[in-house]
Amino acid sequence: MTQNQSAHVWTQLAPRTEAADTETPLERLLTPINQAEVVKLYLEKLHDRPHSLFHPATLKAQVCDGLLNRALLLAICSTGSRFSLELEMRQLESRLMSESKSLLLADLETICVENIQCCILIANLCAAHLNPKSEALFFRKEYLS
Amino acid sequence: MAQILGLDAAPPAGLSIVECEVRRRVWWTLVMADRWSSSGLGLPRQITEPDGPVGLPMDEAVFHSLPTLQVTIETSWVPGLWAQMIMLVRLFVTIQDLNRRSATGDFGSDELTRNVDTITQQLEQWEDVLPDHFRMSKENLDFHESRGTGGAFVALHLGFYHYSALLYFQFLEGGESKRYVEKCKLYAAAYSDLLRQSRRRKSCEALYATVAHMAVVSSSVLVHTLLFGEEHELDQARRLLNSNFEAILELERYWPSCSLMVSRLTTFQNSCLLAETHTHRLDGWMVRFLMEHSLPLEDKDFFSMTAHVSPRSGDIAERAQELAEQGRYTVFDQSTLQND
Repeated sequence: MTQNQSAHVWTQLAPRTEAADTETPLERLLTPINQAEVVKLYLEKLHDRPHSLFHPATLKAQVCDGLLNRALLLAICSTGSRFSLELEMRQLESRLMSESKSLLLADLETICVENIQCCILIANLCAAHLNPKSEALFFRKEYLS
Repeated sequence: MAQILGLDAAPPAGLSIVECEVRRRVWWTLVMADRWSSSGLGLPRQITEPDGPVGLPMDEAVFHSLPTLQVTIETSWVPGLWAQMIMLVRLFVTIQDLNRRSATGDFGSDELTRNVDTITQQLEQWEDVLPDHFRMSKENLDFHESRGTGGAFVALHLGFYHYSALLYFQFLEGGESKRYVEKCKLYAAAYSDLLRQSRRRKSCEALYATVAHMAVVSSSVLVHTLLFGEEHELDQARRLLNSNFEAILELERYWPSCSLMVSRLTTFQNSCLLAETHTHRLDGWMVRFLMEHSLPLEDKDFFSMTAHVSPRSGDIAERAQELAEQGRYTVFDQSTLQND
């Protein structure tokens, strides 16, 4: 990427300081089309780099069919939303992470691959938000609990 | 959860190949995360025996092409990029342990050299046995970009360059082992160059948060070149430093934690300005700088250090001005990039 191209990307990515919509239900903001878009962004920008958690075609089909574990879906969407060129999608990042965490914690006694995948993503999100204690907690949950 | 589910064991019967491979990859992601997260947080590793009957991940292009429910596979298994990452991260663990022990004075000079030589051979062996299409080259970058595995290919080699720079970092101090110093500089420069190249290729970008930390480590080596290198090395060091900084700024847009990285680099450079000698000495502070990327880094406290560090008289701004006039100082500031 040239400096001009990277500068272009920067101007399109507004700072996170702008107020996010906390009133509208998440379901109205995260439409099936938006879900597909941010999952695609996650697969394009992050999948197979710091972690390898999914079979891309299977994941896309599960999202399209509405069959993916909701906590996991929201964790993927929170991770992918930061790469969206749409301000409203980027602003959803924290709400998506928060909702995913709540759902996961409520379901922690269900021992399944999806919950482990969700723990890994949330641990990474905690690290990204400079929350090392939560990062450590979620990484250790997925291995030991 | 992973232990209860038996992710570290052979998969149960009745699963499709995709389901088995996903379980396998989730396990190895946990192992990788344990190595990185523990180091970043300054905590002990949790997974002490990662190897078992689980097996290594298959070639990514083959995996991605499999139908979800397929239960048999005609092609023979070949290790993928993630298999190579897993074999390499074992050396990361060894290098982490070596650096921590070295910082506490556990090694005599000969023993340290023997250990570093052993790990050097292991790194070279890892590189030697890489399948041809996994070796770093422009042609392979093109190849992996075209088949959708560019991101993993870049991540593999960024890791290799980072681990190698970490291994030789302590030899920047003292200058006795010239070959180790050259290796450290080589890998730090290679990291910066690959990161720059990957940012120009849409599907090869390295946009995960730890890239910023690795760029800071690469930059700290380049700062050493800027401060102490020969005249003919300065232009390249400055160019690579600016390139790293540009990458870190972009990552900061995506990951709030990357704002820590710029301040870590500034803290590091300031510590170099304040020290008369031993700017890159591997002590406890330096270990925290190199490895504990998830934790805040305090300014180097020269007053509590022992006699091996001699604080310089005069202030940082004065020293920075002096070095800038010699072309040996760069400001980590967006205005620097805009003026380039």
